[in-house]
Formats: sequence, structure tokens, C-alpha cells
Amino acid sequence: MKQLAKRLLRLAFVLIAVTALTFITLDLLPGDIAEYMTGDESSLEDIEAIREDLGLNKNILVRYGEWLKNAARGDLGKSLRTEQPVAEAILSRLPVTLELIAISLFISLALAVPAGILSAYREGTWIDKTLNCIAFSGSSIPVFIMGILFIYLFALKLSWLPATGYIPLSDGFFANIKTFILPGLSLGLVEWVPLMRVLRTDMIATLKEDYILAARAKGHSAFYILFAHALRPSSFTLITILGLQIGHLISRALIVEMIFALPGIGRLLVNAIYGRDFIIVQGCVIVIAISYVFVNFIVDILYALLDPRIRQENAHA
Amino acid sequence: MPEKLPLSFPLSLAWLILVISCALFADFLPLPEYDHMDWQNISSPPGSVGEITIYDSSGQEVKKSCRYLLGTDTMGRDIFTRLVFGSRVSLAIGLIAPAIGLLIGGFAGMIAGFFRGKLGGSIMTAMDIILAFPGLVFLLAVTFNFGRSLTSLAVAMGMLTIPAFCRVARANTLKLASRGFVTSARMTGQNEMKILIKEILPNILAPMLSYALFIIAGVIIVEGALSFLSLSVLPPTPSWGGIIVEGKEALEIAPHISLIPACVMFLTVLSFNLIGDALMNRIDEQRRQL
Amino acid sequence: MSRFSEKLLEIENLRIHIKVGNRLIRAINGVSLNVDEGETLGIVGESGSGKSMLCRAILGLFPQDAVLEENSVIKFKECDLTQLTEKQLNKIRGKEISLILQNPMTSLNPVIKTGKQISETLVRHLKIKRKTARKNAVQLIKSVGIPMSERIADQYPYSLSGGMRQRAAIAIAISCEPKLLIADEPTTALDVTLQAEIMDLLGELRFRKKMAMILVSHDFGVIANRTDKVAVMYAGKIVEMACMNKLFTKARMPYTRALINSIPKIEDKPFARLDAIKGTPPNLAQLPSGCSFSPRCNKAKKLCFEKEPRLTFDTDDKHFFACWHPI
Repeated sequence: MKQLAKRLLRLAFVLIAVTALTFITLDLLPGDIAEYMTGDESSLEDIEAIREDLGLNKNILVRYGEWLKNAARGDLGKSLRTEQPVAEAILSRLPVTLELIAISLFISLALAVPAGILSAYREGTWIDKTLNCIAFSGSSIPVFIMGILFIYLFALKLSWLPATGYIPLSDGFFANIKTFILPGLSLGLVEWVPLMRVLRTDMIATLKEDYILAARAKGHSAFYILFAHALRPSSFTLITILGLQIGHLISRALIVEMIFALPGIGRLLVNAIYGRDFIIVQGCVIVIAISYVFVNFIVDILYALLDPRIRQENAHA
Repeated sequence: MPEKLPLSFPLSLAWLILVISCALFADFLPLPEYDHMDWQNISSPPGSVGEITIYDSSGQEVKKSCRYLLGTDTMGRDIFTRLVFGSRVSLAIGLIAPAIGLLIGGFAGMIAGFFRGKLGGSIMTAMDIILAFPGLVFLLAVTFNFGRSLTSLAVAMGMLTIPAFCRVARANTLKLASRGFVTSARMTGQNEMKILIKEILPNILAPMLSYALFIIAGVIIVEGALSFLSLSVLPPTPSWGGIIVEGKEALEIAPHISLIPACVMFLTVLSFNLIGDALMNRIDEQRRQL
Repeated sequence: MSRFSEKLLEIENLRIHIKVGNRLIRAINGVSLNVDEGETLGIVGESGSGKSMLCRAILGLFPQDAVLEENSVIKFKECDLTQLTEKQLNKIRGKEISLILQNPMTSLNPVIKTGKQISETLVRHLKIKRKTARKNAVQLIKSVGIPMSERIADQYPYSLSGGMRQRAAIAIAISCEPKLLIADEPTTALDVTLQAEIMDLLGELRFRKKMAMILVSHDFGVIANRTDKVAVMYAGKIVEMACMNKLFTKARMPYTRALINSIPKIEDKPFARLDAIKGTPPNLAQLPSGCSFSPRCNKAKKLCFEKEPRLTFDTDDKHFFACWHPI
């Protein structure tokens, strides 16, 4: 319990540090937004009025405090261009990003787990070497190039799948999934590599253990042994890495949303940057940063939950 | 028996030397201007011939024919030239940012691993805060505010690489610090900073440098992503990601515009990764034999 | 002495080598032995004599780079195991022939509940439903002397002590009522007090289930009085085999005699010198020509260094040995 309290305290600390840093980083020179909003032919009074209105003249700490207060109530300000509340804009786009992340995690695990198991089982053979080659090359391809390649191959040349666009779930399950296949693959085919590598290493070590020999002596098939006996003990590092990957996943999802025109948070953020919509940029960055911190926190807790069992087991051994 | 370096090593090295030389001697190569637009030859395939206007020594306009080695892009600009000049951006950021990370992160990691305790703990917490941001988002925020000059990009990416170097430096330092020769030096009262520099530093330099190669590969990818989003250096300076994103519109009719720079970027990143991998394996072998 | 004359296991001229770099390690160098139904065979030998490899070889569980040489025959119920496919072997492993490993701390899967490790074998071989299998597993746990069988079945191995884990391993091994149980040093990793308990359990099971057993150990004390016959292994070969009493009193091969003599006896005076065998166990990659024991034998003559001794039978056909100059 004491550990949990310590962790929560640390979480709060990091959250405040993150939001504060973001706020300060995005603190534009006051002139900027006001000038942008009023256009070229405005008088100094107009600019001043807007500054007053947005409270840009106050001290930054005061502004941060006010922002924090409002954020706690769910009010993240209004977009400079569309007047839409930022919180609403973010919430409406959240499902898309989450679905993208979920699908790509699924694809990367669906690739990494069999590949890792196979290459550990057949360590040193041509299967292992080939898989390692593919993995290595895969880790050298940036996500956006993967995306472009897929669009070129599957959308343009073969016309199997749509290149861009998004169809919400309400319009049909399969149509919805179709729009996520190429983006999900672009992400998944880059993400699977570190997962596969880590699983392979752990599994090679596990397969040398006595209890695997014992399982073989019981007459179980190789398939059963690999999945029912060897996979669980080898997944430890995999799960840890999975947690660490989420950060990369969020950044890459951003790029993928831009390429495939998926209306997610990433696209919202980038478009806001193009349009210099400061309030939305601020809201998005902070929401993304906070989610990231939370996810890492949860992974940490999960790790600690898995840990006592291993710790106890080691104590007996 | 030291393992021979795999075939991929000299190939990667050759490719990198090629790219780096092009970047360095770009100005001396007989290439058309990178922003010269040949409207007669939009999106031409590789090898096509076009006409460019240059000014000769007496200031007269002279029309010269030239061969577009890798074709032209959607605005008639020679892709090969743009790739060469774009490599300057990628390589500059790709080398400067990890250098910053290596210096600051490596040093911080050494201190955290050597002195440990409260100092080490607070260094790692600071790293955690940097790591608390998803990278690209951090970069977007920074460039949004501080502008998109080469300097701000390199510094921002450098900051992002600090935690990675710090972690590796700390891990390596911890391993070394528990070894006999270090403990004995500490016990005989030698100046700790001196020990750090004289004993620890030379031994972690090799693994840090080979790890740096992986980081370079990663930074090139991130810069590519940024320029793909048109958020890297300001035009008209070409960048690899920029060429690719421009080519996206013409993918159907002229795929070479996106795909050729994509290949170049892939090969460069792959080369850095392969060399880093080969060196890491070499170092592991040597360590095991010790 | 077994009442059944049916030969359960017949091994003829088993040879296995492992290639490491350019060295050839002769792990098993020509082993021939028989086990009848219901009979218990003990195998004794120093570390590196090939005992463990023999146990694994019977079930076809060779390490990756081990090579089974031609003319090696392992016949189980008239069926040559060396000619079977992996799939066919899997039908025999755990069902007709079971194996118990040495170290109970590592031979049970740490992330699978104890009961499940028993019931999965039942489900696989006897094709019964999982619920029934679980009930049977609990019964088995009880039958090997583990208290609170219901609770233990639902616990992970780390909650069990070494002795209980080995009992659990035995429960797994006998779950499908195998005809042959191979126990590779079942008590070596346990306290002396537990040794007797486990050995008693095995003996009890031997009578109850009428199964044949191969008991491997480096310790004569473990084997004594619990076997029908004992084989002595040295450098990958069986150098003598006889029933226990005969071995003790009329061992013909010098190695056997030396081995028996090296056991410390209660009657010895304090600080009495142990009768150790001079020299070190042989390097299986560089076996001497002739008898493998010759460098360490104080009865060795010229022939011993030149030619490998043939198996000779003693007065009855149940006692054979490999020596040119037997005692």
C-alpha cells in the first residue's frame, strides 16, 4: 500500500510538471495570437482589446493556474478558428485514435507472437535468420514510408482498399474496419519488431528450462508446449516493452492519421498547428501528454502486480 | 576468435560514405539548382532529359541540356539534386542531435550510475519527465513555438535523445563501477571525478558510440516524419520527407517522386542500423572473451 | 525377480554422439540392457557416465545436436522407438513410459497450477473431460501423500516445498498408469530425510501399479534393496549388471568393486580414509582406446589398454560384465 501511495504521489508530480512545461513551452509572445486574430489592418487598440479578452496580459503563473482550474472542470478553452470548445473537439475525435491504436496493437502482436515463437523454436535455422532479416529491415522503415507504400500498392495499384477517409462504426462494422486496415498495417508492421525480438530472446531462454523437457516427456505436441507452457513465462519483457511502445505508438498514430486522413486527435493537432490555432494545440498536447503518463503509470502498476509472484517464486527456488 | 564483420558492414559503410560525400560536396557537383523548376518536364521519370537555363561566366543566359538522373518532381525540380541537398538537413540533424544527447545524456548517466543515491535518483526522475512526452508531440510543440530553424530542430531532437543515452550510460557505468579496479581506486581515496573520467569514460565510450548509431537512425526517421508533415525546416530548403510528401499527390502517375527518396531514406537508416548492430556484436564478443 | 517373462524394454547397442565444433563427444558408447514387465532396474554411475542421457534417449528426447548412430535399437514392447516419428513417440511419452527429472524446483512449470500440470496429461492421453481430469488429479495428489490435495491442486508450484514438488512430479508421471517409469536421480536434489520418503513412495507405487522402473542414481544407498537388478555405467557403457546382492558380494569388474568400496561404512573408524578411485572421470571426447576404465584401474593389463572388453556372462545369465581380467 505504501508503494502505491508513493507511486501516486510521483504520478501527480509528473502530471503537474508535464502540464506546466507544456503550458510554458506553448506560451506565445502575446502579440502573436492577437495579431493573427485581428488581421493586418487592425489598430493597436483592437489588438490590446483582444489581449485583455484572452487574459494574455496576466502573469504566466496566474494564467497557468486559471487554465488548471478550468481544465479540472473540463473546460479547455475554445478554438480560435471555429469557436468549438476544445474539450468537445478532442472527445469527438478520441474514438478514432483509440480504434487506430487498438487495431495496430492487435496487428503488431498478431505478427510478433508467432514470429517470436517460431524463430525461438527454430533458433539458428534459415527460418530464424530470415525472420530476423525481415524484422531488421522493418525497423528501418519509417512509418510514413510504410503508409505511402501501402497506399501505392493496395489502394492505387490493386484497388483493394480505400486510400483515405474514414467511415464511422455506425455506418457498418466492415466498412469501418476496412478504413483501418491500411493505417493499422502501416503502424503494426513497424511496431512488431521490438516485440518479436524481445519475445524471441526470452523464449530461447525458456525453452532451455527443465520444465519444458518435462513437458516433452509428457508427450505434448510442440505446438501445445510452445503456446501453453513456454509462452507465459516468456512474456514478461514483452509486456514491459509493450507499455513503453505506447508512447511511440501515439506519435506514429499522428502521422498515420495525417496520411490516411483519419479524423483523430493527431490530425486535429497537426491541422491546428498549420492553422496556428494555439488553444487547440495546447489542449491536444496536454491531453496526449497526460494520457501517455497515465498509460505508463498503469503499465508500472501491472508490472508490480506481476512482480510479487515472480519474486515469491524466486524466493522459494 | 573475433567474428568477421558480416558482408552488410562494408556495403552499409560504402552507402553512408556516398551519402555523406554528396552532402558535403553538394555545391561542387554539376547539378541544376534545387529549386529550379523546369515546367516542360513535370514529374518526369528518371533518366529523362530536360533543358535548364544557366548563366555563364559573362552573365549571359545559356540553355543547356541536362539529364535528370532520378527524374523531376511535381514542379519540375530535379529529384537527385533535391535529395542531395535534403541529405544535408537529414545528416546535420541526424548527427548534431545525437551528439547533444550523447554529451549531456551520457554525462548525466555516468554521474547517476557512479554516484547513485539521491543525485542519481533525481537525475533519473528528470529523465522520466522528459520521457513523459510522446516524442513527436514534444517536437511539434517546440517548433510551434520556437520556429523551424535547423538549430531549434536539432536542439529539440537532441533533448529527446538525452534519456536514451542517459539510461545506457548509467547501465554501463553501474556494471563497471562494481568491478574491482574501480572499487579499489575509490578506496585508495582517489579523486572521484578523476576516476570517472580516467577509468569509466574510456570503457563506456565504445558501447555508447555504437548505440549512438541507432539513435542517429532514429533521428533521421523522426526528421523525415516532421518534414513529411511539412513541419521541419522551412522551404525552399529541400528535405527528404518533404519530397516524399509532395510526391504523395502524384503517386498514381509518377510514383518515383515518393518512392525514390523513400528508398534512399530506407537505405540510409538501414545502413546506420546495420553498422550499429555489427559494432554492438563486436563489443559483446570482446566483453564475453574478457 | 519378476514373474513375467515378457520383455518390456530391450536396448541393443545404443550409441549416441554429439558433435561440438570438431570434437566428437561419445555420450553413449554402446549400451545394451533389458527390463522385464514389473522389474526394477537400477543404474549407478558417476557424473558424466551417461545415465541422464540414457534416460532421455529412451524417450527420444535428445538434445538438438545429438546424433543417434545406426544399429542402435530401443525396443519397447517389440516396437523400435528409434524408428518412430515424433507424433508416434508423443503417444508413448507420458502414457506408456514416464520420466521423472532430478530437480523438482525446476521441473514443474512455475506459471501453471499444480493440478493442471497433472490433468493436462490425463486429458491428452486418456481423452477425458477436463472436469473429470481435475477430479482424478486431486486423487493422484492424494495418492502420492500430499496433504490438502484440493487446495494444492489449485496452487502454483512455488507454494510447494521441494519434497512435495517431487511428489507432484511423481503424480504426473504415474497419472496415465505407465508400464515403465524412469526416475533420473529422483532424490539427489532433496534432503536425506526426504530421500527415504520419496524412495518409499516409489517402492509402494511399484508394487501397487506393477509397473517397471528404471532408477538412476550415483548413490548406491538409494538403489540398495529397491531394485531387482543393478547396472553400473561408466563412460557411456554398461560395465556390469547383476542383482544387488550379487553385485555387492561377487562384483567381477574392478570399477564396480572400487565403487562399492568407496562407500563410507558405519563400521568405519572416525577419520578413516575414504577409498576413492584414483584419477578423474574420463573426457567423453577423448576416450582411451581399449577399456575406458583402464587408466584408473589398478588391475589393468596390456590387453585392457588395447581392446574394448566384450560382455561376458557370469555363472547365470542375469549377471554380465565387461572386463578382460575380472576379479
